[in-house]
Amino acid sequence: MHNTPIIVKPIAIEASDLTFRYDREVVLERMSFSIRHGEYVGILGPNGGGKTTLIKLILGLLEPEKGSVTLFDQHGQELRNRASIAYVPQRSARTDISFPATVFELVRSGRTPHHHLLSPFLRESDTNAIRWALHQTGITKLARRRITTLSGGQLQRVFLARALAAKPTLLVLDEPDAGVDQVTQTAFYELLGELNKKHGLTILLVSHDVEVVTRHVNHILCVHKTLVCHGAPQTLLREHFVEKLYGDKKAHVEHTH
Amino acid sequence: MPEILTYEFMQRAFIAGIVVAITAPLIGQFLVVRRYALLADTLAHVSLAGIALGLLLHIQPLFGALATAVIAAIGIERLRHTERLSGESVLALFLSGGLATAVVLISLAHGFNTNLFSYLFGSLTTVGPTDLLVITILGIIVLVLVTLFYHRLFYISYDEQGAAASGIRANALNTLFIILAAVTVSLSIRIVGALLIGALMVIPVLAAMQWRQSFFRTLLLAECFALISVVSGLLISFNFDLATGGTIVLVALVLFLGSLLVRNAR
Repeated sequence: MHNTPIIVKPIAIEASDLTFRYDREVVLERMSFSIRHGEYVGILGPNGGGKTTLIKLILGLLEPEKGSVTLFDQHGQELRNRASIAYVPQRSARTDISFPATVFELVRSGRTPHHHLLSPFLRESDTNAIRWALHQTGITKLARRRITTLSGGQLQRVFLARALAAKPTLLVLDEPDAGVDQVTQTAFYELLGELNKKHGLTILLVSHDVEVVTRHVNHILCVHKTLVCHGAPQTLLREHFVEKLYGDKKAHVEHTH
Repeated sequence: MPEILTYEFMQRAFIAGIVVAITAPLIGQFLVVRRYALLADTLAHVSLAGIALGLLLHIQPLFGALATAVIAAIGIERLRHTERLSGESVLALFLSGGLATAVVLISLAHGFNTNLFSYLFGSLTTVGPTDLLVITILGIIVLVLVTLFYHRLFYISYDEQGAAASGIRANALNTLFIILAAVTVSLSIRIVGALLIGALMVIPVLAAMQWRQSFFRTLLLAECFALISVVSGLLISFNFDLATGGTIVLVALVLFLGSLLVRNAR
């Protein structure tokens, strides 16, 4: 490690001493970590362990009780140019699937943060970004379909395409694998890995699928009320982090299937 | 000129009706997709309190309705934002609170019952020149603002958090939208009445949604259905001496049923 020259990328996200309470109950306590540009980070942890709260704090959607987050060297809540951040919330946080809209309309809305109020029309750069996003996610042919007619896996790609249409530098996904079968899921994570490698996209991925995440990401944050452990997947696996994070019972379940 | 338009009050009713038909689904579609359709009825009941206050204090009732609806709208949005109460219960609170206030104010000053009836169910003959001016100006403001904010409203309607994370000011936008809804409700009361305005905002949208189009085309269709409902509703109610608001809403219902049948047939 000491002998190999490594180009250290600048820090994209820096959290220091983050604490958040909801109705006096501690959700997250004293979390400090940093994430560099171009990293593909998996956030793992049990349900109710504070994963979603953590990314909302990072994105400035919640204000920490104590501590701070800096994104691209700017204070979370004061960050000016947010158009370079794309967030795909959990399915339950989004409007249900009866929403009357086409794939194109949804993907196009990814460009909206880049637009000034008085110039609502698509420019060439917008059309190019939308076309690129549809192509990357392999849904060009679905563009005119209504989202109500799509499968879970297709819808997942539509939301990824919306995020990509913004040409983000930071992509945050909260449990994108919920309700999607294993094969579709693996293809989706491979696509994310490709975007990370080819385009240097910084990715934060919340998931509870330990196995799949450790195979794809290059950095893991284990969250259970606080930062239980973090590091490269290979290192963490050697330290039996799954047991630490979920307790022995869950670890046992992991091994049996 | 058709005979019906030789009456000045009918000319005013027609222009006001067309303004209302254009603005109602514009707001209504965003309400429906956000499962917030009851907001229209809530604001209408609150407006009724404002109308009663206007009649009591001899101010233009339309201004009374506007003021109370806008204030209530901001209150609803604030309460909803704190998340201490569910959106539904906030609406229930304001709906019954508005109606109770209206009833008490009415009983305070006896004798304007016939006038009040026109505010409950809409009326052709009561659209005065001042009403028409205010309705037209406010209608144009609503149209312009919804057009400007269309893409942002679309984004927050299906994914508020994703929008906020990307820098769209979702809270400010929600407040603006609910104020526009309050304005639309108040200016529609003259034509369709407080008890039926919710129907005009929602039913044309539901009818349009049966045609399974894109969001934008659904909106255009809803606009068409609302215009057809209002114009034919006005004509029918004039010719057969029927209650205006009720006739308009019945036409909208027929269009909805027709759309439903076409959908099932396909």
